[in-house]
Amino acid sequence: MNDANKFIIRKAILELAKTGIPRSTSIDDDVRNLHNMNSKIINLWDYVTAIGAQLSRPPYDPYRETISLNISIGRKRHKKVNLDIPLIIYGNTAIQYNSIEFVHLALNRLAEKGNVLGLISEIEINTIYDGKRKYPLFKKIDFSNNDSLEDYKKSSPEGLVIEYKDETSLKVLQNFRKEFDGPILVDVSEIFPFHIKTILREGADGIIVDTEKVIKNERYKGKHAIAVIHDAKNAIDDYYKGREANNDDYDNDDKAILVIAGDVNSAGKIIKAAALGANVIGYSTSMLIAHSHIYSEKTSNASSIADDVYSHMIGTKGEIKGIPAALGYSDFHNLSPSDLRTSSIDASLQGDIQLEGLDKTYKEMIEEIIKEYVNDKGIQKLDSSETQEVLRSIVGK
Amino acid sequence: MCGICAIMMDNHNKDFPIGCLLYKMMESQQIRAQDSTGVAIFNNGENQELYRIDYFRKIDGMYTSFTEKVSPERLDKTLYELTQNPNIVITSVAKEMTLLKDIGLVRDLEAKYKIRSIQGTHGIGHLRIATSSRVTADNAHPFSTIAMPDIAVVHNGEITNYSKLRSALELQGHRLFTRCDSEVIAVFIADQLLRHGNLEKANYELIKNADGPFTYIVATPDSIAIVRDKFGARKCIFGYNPGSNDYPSFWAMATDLSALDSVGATFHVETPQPGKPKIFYRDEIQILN
Repeated sequence: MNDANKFIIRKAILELAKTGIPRSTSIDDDVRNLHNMNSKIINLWDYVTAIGAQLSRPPYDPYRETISLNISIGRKRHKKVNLDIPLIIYGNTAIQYNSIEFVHLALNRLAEKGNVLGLISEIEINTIYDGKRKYPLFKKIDFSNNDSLEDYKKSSPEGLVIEYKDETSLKVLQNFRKEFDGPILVDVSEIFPFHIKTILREGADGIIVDTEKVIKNERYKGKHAIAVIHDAKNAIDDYYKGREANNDDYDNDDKAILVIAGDVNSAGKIIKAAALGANVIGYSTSMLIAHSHIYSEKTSNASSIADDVYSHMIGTKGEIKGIPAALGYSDFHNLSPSDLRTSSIDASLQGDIQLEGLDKTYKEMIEEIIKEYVNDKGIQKLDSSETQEVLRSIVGK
Repeated sequence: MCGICAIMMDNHNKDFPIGCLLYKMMESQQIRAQDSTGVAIFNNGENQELYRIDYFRKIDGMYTSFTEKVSPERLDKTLYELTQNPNIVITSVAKEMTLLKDIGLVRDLEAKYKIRSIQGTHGIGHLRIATSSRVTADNAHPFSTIAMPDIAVVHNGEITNYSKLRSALELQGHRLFTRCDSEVIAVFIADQLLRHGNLEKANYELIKNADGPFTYIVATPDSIAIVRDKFGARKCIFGYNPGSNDYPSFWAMATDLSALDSVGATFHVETPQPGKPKIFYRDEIQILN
């Protein structure tokens, strides 16, 4: 629940306390009208929807047919990490200290039931509740202490995470790449969208982008997470386009993954982010659930908190399986931007998403209008770069 | 609800008008689909020296078919020039294949191209009912590609992750001319064959990567493969005619049993297993499991 929703609920309660007269309208109506009351809080996620099954595209039945969520992280020549659910718990560090043990316990229980997902952690897990780790750990490198790879190896992580800040980070990546055989993910949120090609060239197995951090950057001011995901996907594609142009052959085993973290904190957003290009979601909600016990009125023990995290994850898994199945996919990773539609021109522009009812992106529509105009006026035909220039002048960069 | 069919003559027999067999099978399945039709017939001895490039030119919303015959030295340059024109849709590049397709019924295709008289060692046919893309001549099957000559695909069903596969192929520099999911199969198989040359492996890769309910038949100069998706959501059947009703011996494949009946291919009738390509080789009839 966001601040605006809380405000409405509080206002309704105060009204009732003051007047003693029950409301004649639902609080939901106020929440629904919230967007009209304050345009600043429009969230483009709400304006993006998944298209449904079609006559020619029957849905799969998740109860009878396998809907795969599996993903393998790691490029050719490196050891791979396999996840049954494309989620890596990537929470706020401040929260981690309190709650990571409960999440650890839940992840072990999930792994025992064939639901392996990952954890990114900067701190050591004490494993007081359930000793042996049964899920893959991605150890985040802390730049403040000059630890060597040997120090990181102590916790036997399956993967590493480097937060890219400057050229020093690149040297760290180069050094660790030589010595570490598992997947290395690089969090590029601070420098996004730069240096991605270099990072992939140096052997990173995946790129992590935190949408909340990126939209705070001056370059992405006023933009939404969908623009960040779209641009991150394109940046990775551009790296592979460059390799293709240089006849540097690659196959699917050699593809780096895109991990999207930040405000992707519900099943609906996971689906939308995956359709826009995310391969794995850096999911923080489990950490928040583990953390929420602090504010709970009833006393909770570690096992019951882990149960909450476990149940939430099983529910989330069901939801993220159900939507691809309804779209006619047997594999979650087959979602693509063409499965999304939007009623917002802004969302269409930021994420290259087709507009509802038109099945074209806003850019494509404008391109068509430019072509028609050029034809009607008998102006000399524009080549593709000239068309792009006109397009940019109309819709902005 | 599309209908697909194929014939592979036994003993490398290329003197029989295979077009008449395909015509019969297509006619018997016409009830399945009526939007457009097409055939691809191999080794009829026509295009031995020159490459044949077939294409549609879109003029005022109408598609008109054209053919150019070019020497191997001029092939790349001609293809480059044609691909620069946004109103041109190249339908096939061939040396050993004749690919003909248009909107309308199979009898309309016969009236236009006299398909019944075309000889060859093997061929494929298709009847289309449009689902995801428009009823136009360029969206008719069989689909081919400029990535490599002499490859054709007919398809019944839907590749639901078409967009994803298409983007990946375009990223690798392939050119696709239509928005039809079936074209992706032709380009994907060609891309795989260019990498390793193994048709069976290429089909397994496609089964692994393509999603949705589908059955397709892919033909190359020396083979035909039938492929069903891993769940077997779209039917397909094949049978053998050992030489009867004035026909020489051949294998026939189709969506409906009625099509096998129509050409007497009622021996050794089987259905291909889901997720496992069945390949018939021209020179050696052999079924791979």
